Amino acid sequence: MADPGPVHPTPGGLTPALPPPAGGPGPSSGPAEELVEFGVAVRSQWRLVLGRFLRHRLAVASLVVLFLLVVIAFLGETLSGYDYGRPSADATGSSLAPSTDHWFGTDAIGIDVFAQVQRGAQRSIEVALLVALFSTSLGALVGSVAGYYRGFIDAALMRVTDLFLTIPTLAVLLVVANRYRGSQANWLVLVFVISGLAWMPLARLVRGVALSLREREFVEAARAVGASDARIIFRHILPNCLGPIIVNGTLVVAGAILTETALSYLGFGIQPPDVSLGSLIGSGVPAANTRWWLFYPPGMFLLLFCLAVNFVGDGLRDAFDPQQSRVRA
Amino acid sequence: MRIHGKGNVARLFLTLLCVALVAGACGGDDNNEGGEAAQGGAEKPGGTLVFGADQDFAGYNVNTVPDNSLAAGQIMKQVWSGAYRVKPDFSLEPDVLAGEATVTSEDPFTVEWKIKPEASWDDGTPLSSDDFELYWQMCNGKNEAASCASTTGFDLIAKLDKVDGKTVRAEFAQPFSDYKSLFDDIPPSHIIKQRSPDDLVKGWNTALNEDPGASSGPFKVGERVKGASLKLVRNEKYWGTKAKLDEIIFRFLPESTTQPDALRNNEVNLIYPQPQLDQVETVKAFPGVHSEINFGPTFEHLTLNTKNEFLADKAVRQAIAYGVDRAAIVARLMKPFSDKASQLDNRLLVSTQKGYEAHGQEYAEVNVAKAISVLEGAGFKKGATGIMEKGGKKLSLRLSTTAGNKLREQQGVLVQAQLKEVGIDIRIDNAPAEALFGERLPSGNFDIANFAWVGTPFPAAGGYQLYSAASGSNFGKYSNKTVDQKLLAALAETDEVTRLGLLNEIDKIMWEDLPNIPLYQKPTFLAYNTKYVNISDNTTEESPFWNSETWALKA
Amino acid sequence: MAGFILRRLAISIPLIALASFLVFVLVAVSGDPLGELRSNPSITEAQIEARRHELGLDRPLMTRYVDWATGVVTGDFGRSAKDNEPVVDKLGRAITVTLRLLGGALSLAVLLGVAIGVAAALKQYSKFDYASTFFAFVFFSMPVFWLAAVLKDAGIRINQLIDFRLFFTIGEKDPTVVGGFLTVFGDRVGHMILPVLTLILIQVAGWSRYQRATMLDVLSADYVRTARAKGLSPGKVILRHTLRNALIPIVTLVAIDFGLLMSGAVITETVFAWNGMGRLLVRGLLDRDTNVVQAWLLVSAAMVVLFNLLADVAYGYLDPRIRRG
Repeated sequence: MADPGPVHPTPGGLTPALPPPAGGPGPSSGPAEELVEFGVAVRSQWRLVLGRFLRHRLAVASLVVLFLLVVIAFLGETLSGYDYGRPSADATGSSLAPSTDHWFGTDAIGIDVFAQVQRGAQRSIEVALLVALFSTSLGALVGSVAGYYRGFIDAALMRVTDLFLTIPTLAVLLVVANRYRGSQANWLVLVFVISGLAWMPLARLVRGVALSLREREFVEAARAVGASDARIIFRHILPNCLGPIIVNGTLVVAGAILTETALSYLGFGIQPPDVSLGSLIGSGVPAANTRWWLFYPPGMFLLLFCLAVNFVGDGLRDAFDPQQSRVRA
Repeated sequence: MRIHGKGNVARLFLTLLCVALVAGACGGDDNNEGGEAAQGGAEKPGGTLVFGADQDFAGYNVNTVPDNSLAAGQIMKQVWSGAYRVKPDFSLEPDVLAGEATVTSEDPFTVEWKIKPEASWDDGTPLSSDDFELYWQMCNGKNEAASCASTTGFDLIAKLDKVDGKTVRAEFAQPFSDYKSLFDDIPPSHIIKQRSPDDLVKGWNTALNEDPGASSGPFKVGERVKGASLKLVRNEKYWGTKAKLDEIIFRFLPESTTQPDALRNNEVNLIYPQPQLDQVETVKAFPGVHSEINFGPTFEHLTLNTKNEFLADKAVRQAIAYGVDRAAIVARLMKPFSDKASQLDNRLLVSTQKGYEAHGQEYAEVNVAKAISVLEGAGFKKGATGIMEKGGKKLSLRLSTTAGNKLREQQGVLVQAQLKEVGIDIRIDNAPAEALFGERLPSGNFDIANFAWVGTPFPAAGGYQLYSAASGSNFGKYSNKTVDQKLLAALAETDEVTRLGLLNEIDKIMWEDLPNIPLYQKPTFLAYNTKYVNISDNTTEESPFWNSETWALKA
Repeated sequence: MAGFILRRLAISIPLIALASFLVFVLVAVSGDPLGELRSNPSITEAQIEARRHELGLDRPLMTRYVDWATGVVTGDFGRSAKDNEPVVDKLGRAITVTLRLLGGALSLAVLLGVAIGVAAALKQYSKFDYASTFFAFVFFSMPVFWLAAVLKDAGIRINQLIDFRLFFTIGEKDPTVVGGFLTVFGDRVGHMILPVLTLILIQVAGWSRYQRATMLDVLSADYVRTARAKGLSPGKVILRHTLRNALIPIVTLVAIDFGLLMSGAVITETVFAWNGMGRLLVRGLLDRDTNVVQAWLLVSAAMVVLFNLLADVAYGYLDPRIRRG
């Protein structure tokens, strides 16, 4: 049997984010422990998770903040009444400081900054959510297939995963984005490339869980009943990985937004006239001292959003895997 | 900003963070003067000046194509002397020449250059007609392999005589009025011959890549760390006024947003970046720093691709000219820099040049109603979406400019909004500079392009390069036989008044044809630490380094 | 142990080879190095074709790949399309600069990350724990360049306050500085402070959190309770029993995050105008310098693989179970 190498406790997402660390080889598996075939226990298991999550005031508060930010981002067009791409009627509307008329002021050609931040947030969140969706799906699929089948398939998939792990993400993104600079299709290309470079940690994580799960009785039972491999993977293995998958997903969202921000700062991300939080912050950096309303609002929005996502992710992790309970040595 | 339910520590921290950040924002100086210019006054000998340059460069022979870059130009202007030096007011001062270059005969048109007896290289070799001869041989266009950035004028010289070591006489195939533009940044022919005796072309192209060989200017090249810095050291053997500073150091900072902070932190003493609004405002407020905005011969414009189905129709071009509110663009994007900014009404001369006349009066002010009526007269009708249509086709055009340039991007959005009023749908389609200038423009893959032409003090040659039908720089493929004739005539006309008159006539015709629409003169932005004196801006190719031998530290 | 290392090495080499092919194809389809030349109207089509031939771009992809790969194995990465300098020289200059940044940032970040994480775990739910947790979250929710910009501004203000140039904002060294070892060393360190700080703050955020979790995990293990029951003091328990085990996971995390650290370094170098790998890549991309970009990607991938190998060795050293495996 191929040597899969030391089991790396895997971080999730693109930022150094943390899964439950393994005390030794072998993953931890939370809710799956008590899964019962006919589904009754599952619901109460989820309720336990929910209960634990709700006890985390910070995580709950962050969830509320997150919800508000997303609502503003996607529905805020009607809030300010301004168009993110339309300059003001004349020069007197240019570079205005925040006021009751323009909550975040205007830029050099009179475009309302609140409208820009709202649109930018929408764009950035769209990118991040899509990346989370694609990379999580891909990672979960690869991981579960590798863990379930073991042997050659496992070794092959893990080698591919290793290969992708060596790819310097930002550099490859820059190379691809360079080709599409100036084009409006840029953001979609970026979504695919970022997703393609973000699935590996989850794959390893899910593989670990799948490796242990496949030995369980319920899998044996399913096989005895004649369930196909695909059914077993999708109906039994993956649902039990949902904990780490969801946690990882939230962290990928934060990581993806920061990656897109970095790209836009370097000029390779979302292209004008479209805006993203990254492009706004990037072009706002020189204005930090002179027209601060161009720099701080998008920056604070981003900071708040990422903080909230990270807190929610942390809360979710604690909710799914309460191993780190109070212990005084 | 209300923060929900975070812990006490958290709330305190965030408050502190916000206070710190906002305090940072408010901490700047409110001095709008930009510091006093330091001219003259008591000086201290010696010293070093560090310049924050925009781009690194490759080799030293600025006359070759790969090395014809901005940075190389700024450096080599101080290392190699040329026939003339262009002063900030665009007038020409003989540099290496003993007097003015003289036209010794009208037919055939012959010019004679006399080199100063004391002009020499720092290794002792005199600067001679050999140097002129090699320069011409490489740039007369007869040698395909020789790389030469500009052959204009050199290719008109039929015969070059070395009358003696210090005198050169050239016979032109036809009159060339801008002969004073020839022979700037003269490379050392004796070094090229020494390093590559069997293949002069190869020597011209590559022998001066690692070092310039010799110096005939106030500074010579010292230590270089590729990508990071270059030291220019005073040339003790300079035949002219010896430099006062010991060294000028170029630090390459292509990340131009780092330049203001570097100036503030005294890591560089002089910067000359592309002006961006916040940068200018920020630098103006620095204590101990002088900054100034000047307008040079470079101008922004919109080039219209006459091969596009809509733009081929004069009515559409007119509608664009009526519809673009140039005054508004200037008011929003240029006026914050300088009150002196104004729109440009001549595409061959800039307002600071001799002979400038404003033309195209009917387009001087925006006139949306006229634009609409012109389009309707040509058979267009406003459709349901507010966009003009003809024969079922929407009047939709792409507007392309250099991606990454914030000012240009905003300009594009403004133009898009302005033309929407007229009923023209503009799609913004930017590209990085290399792609725009490298592929799109030369291959005609654009509708409306927004970029800048770098003007020169030689408007006839410049105009010829931009607008003659055969020219490679005529991206919009504009072709008007009368204009071509007049351009050739201007090139040959040696009387300045007549030449300027011709150029103005050409401009009037072009305001009828509208192959492009000039927007405004581009400003330059110079900022330096006031402990240095005698620095002054020069908006031509000479750059502020045109008089670097006079720079000194204040006593 | 030797067999373990050899096995990992044997996997690394084909990995790098495969990466080299992917890198080559990626760059080849992403841009045209002749674009800049075309922008000058004086250059004729003939001259462009000649340059194309000179650069070897008129040959099929596989031939070009094989040529390039064989060159790479002998240390020849080709020449820059921009100024004809051998790419290996550019890389050499850039790597020495970036390694300085990475080395400083990595070592300090690991030390701080472990220290803070362990301390937070030992004093769980204390003010220190809450504070470090909160700061950690803030820092890794921040874009690198934003933090860098804030630090730069703070640095300059402090300089002005104390009337001494402690912090430098551009470059990795000052070209005007000449002198003995101490002067030069002081100059280099002065230039390193802000960039290293930028990188550390974000890495420590993540690593300290991870270390805290790992430490908590280890502290709750049965054998620790046993040791305490035996009567060993907490100090001895920590040092002898838990620390070593708690360090195992962080080693692999550091290895996995190396790629991230490199990305952070690219951005940090851009903000602080260092003449290192960051600028080399961005300039290479903007100048369409394919040889430079290819070499960069390959070297970067090789560094990640190498670093992972080192981490595996360290992991094997720390965890005896692996060694025997």
